[in-house]
Amino acid sequence: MSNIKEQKKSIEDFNVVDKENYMAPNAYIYVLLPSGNSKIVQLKPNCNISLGKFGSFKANSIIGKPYGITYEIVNKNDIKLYKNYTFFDDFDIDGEVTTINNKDLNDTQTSQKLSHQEIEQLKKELLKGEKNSENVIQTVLDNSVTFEAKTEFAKAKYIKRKEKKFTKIFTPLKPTAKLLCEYYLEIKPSKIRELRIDTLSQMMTLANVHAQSNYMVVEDIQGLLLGAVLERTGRIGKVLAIHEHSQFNGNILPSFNFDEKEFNESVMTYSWDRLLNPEPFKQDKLELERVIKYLETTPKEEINEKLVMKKERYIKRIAEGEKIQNFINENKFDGLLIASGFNTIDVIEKLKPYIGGSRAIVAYSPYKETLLETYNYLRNSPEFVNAQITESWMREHQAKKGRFHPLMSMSGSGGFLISAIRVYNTPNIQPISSAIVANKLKRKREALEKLENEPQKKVTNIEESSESVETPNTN
Amino acid sequence: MTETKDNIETEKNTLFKYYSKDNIIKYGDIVIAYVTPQSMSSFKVEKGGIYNNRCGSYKHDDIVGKKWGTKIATHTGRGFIYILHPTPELWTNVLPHRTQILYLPDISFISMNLNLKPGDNVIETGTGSGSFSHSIARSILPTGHLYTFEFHEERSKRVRQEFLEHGLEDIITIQCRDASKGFGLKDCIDAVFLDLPAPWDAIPHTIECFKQNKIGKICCFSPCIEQVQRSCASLHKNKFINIRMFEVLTKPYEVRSFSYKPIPEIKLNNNDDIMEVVEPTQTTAIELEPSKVFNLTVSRSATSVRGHTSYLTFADYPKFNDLM
Ligand SMILES: C[S@@+](CC[C@H](N)C(=O)[O-])C[C@H]1O[C@@H](n2cnc3c(N)ncnc32)[C@H](O)[C@@H]1O
Repeated sequence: MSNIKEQKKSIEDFNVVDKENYMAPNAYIYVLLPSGNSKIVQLKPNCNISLGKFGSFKANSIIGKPYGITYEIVNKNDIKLYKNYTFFDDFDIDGEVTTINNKDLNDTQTSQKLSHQEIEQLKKELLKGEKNSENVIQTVLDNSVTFEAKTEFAKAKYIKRKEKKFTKIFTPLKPTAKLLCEYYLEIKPSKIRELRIDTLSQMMTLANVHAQSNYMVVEDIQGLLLGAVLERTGRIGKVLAIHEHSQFNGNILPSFNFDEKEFNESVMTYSWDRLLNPEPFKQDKLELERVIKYLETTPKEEINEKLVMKKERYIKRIAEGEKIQNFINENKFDGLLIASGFNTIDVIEKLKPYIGGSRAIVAYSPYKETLLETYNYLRNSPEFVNAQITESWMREHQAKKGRFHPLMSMSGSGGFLISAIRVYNTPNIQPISSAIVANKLKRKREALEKLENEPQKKVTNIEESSESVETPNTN
Repeated sequence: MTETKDNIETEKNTLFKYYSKDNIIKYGDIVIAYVTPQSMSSFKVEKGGIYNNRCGSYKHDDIVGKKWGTKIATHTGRGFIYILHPTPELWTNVLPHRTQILYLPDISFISMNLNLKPGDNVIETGTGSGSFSHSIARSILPTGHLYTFEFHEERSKRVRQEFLEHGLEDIITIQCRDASKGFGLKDCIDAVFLDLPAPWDAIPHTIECFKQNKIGKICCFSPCIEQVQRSCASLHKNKFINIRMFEVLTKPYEVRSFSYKPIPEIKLNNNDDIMEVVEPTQTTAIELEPSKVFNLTVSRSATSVRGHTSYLTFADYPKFNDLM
């Protein structure tokens, strides 16, 4: 069977309508492996997909199938359904919660009669498809000296461990913001500024992200935040991503498998340069005029094709940009989400005019210190209320029969969020309490300034300048 | 002035609908009156209505025509409120408690783990005070649907009334029904959330509800570890996989400014060779090292914070024809 050359297929040969639940050609999939590790791969038709030591499989064999089914790799790179799907769930490893003595057990390498080379050989045969996993596991178990002596629980655990090592099974899942966040936190935490899933989830609720609304996003975490927002809006409503450099850097975005048309209709990317520029297209328009003039005044034969294309490019770029600028001018946004290396105060200062009244802003930082000044800024600003800094704490527990307890290691911090609600302050209303506070602050500031202006003053003259500064009690 | 206000039509409210482009508050709107994070409440804006709080009273007619987020003063000018547009999160802060309710950290984490998004169909039970229901509805609108079950008759009536007032009747169906008797739904549900004392009674009934050919998601929310143990056993017995259990909390920080106390110094008095102890004041310290001693911006977590809400148990049900 495997000798017969497989037929090449083109994208049209796969008819995948429900891309939300079924794997489309060229879709990205999140592959869950028995070790608990995962991998993100693209299902390119006619390609072989390698899972490293777990073997490989043909993309065509799962394209068109629903996400979430577990397969076993057999005979090199064929797959079959893995029906024993509760297999990795070791909740119910039977046996008493026991104190049977295992002081005589010695679970070192020597308790295994097979040599290291022999085990490696088994693994190789397994990979080549010459042996199946059950065989291999049995061989390893048969040669384990201490196995019989183990307690029931330990035995079961031991089998599971061996199984996890030798079984070539995998589960393709749909990459979601949750899975992608966990994945990148694991493999490249700095790329996503160590943003943890619980914190990301809080950003979605704090900014009230949902369909039929418009959001502004400032991020430099590869599109993870933008993707998470698009997942929640269902691409119903607009999202404006403000970026540095010439374009938005969204390396993670393709993994979300957003429909291209939906994506393009929902997402607008716009550079700071344009946004902050009172005449955002002046430069481009001048350039365009120059090109047009040249084209008009030059004989047809001498015109370089490239220049014509350049003209088209400018026209398109200006039109697209102006469309975005018009949208910004005509609409208020329903939320601002920030996860970037910029100073949060600066971002808020620049973008607050675009945020609608009663709408929220939320910013993430892995470092609390970077948010403290922002907090003071928001607290003192008449344009914001409900300013809060929070840190998320999350702990996973082992959930096994008779053995519930928190996991032995956990992530130390989920990072910090600052959030607030944009309001309009009628200038003539000055609440009494805040007037008092403001006055106090003012007096303090004045006192300080006075001091700083006379730094060389003699110690003995201190009384004169210290009326409004509290003197520590010397008693 | 009043004439123009009368012309502002009273249209059907949906709590989370994008407010009209002009951003203007109308009669019939439900608003959140914000004083401080600890002090907010909600009311419906009605002609001639008066809203009272500790600092005084506010005329509804003064609010209509203003932009959402506007600060409104009492007529004495002594007190003020901000008029905020309701969101599920603000609603959670002001809703009348009939039961324990879910708060933002759990709501966020559960929504993310159940992968809630527009178009999803969700089961929730018990509805309780409807805190999470509002958030679910927000996440799945406009095409998703929430089926929520509350067997306490009075509670189910009150929460149904709220859903109606909030214009959510198209998104949420509430039934007064005992979840341990099943849900009466088949092959149409993406995710299930169980917040009731005995989730294990409901777990077996969720299976038939899940959509075919995908992984059904479930979350059980229980405050006690003994409940979690029973739920996990039931999930396992009913062939759910990837059973994982979490706790989530958030820690709010207070930001303050801080100044060190200076250490006393010994100074040599040049004139008469006498050692003198100078007890420095805050001011001398500033002179010595201005940047170090004064006005550091510091933060700390509050002395008393929430330490536990509930344990969140998640699991997947792979419901594939091929596997059955
Ligand atoms: C803690 S409250 C739920 C709070 C809700 N999650 C919220 O955020 O507002 C639990 C509710 O479950 C209801 N309940 C308990 N057992 C039930 C059952 N078997 N069927 C339906 N509802 C039930 C109770 O009446 C109670 O109102």
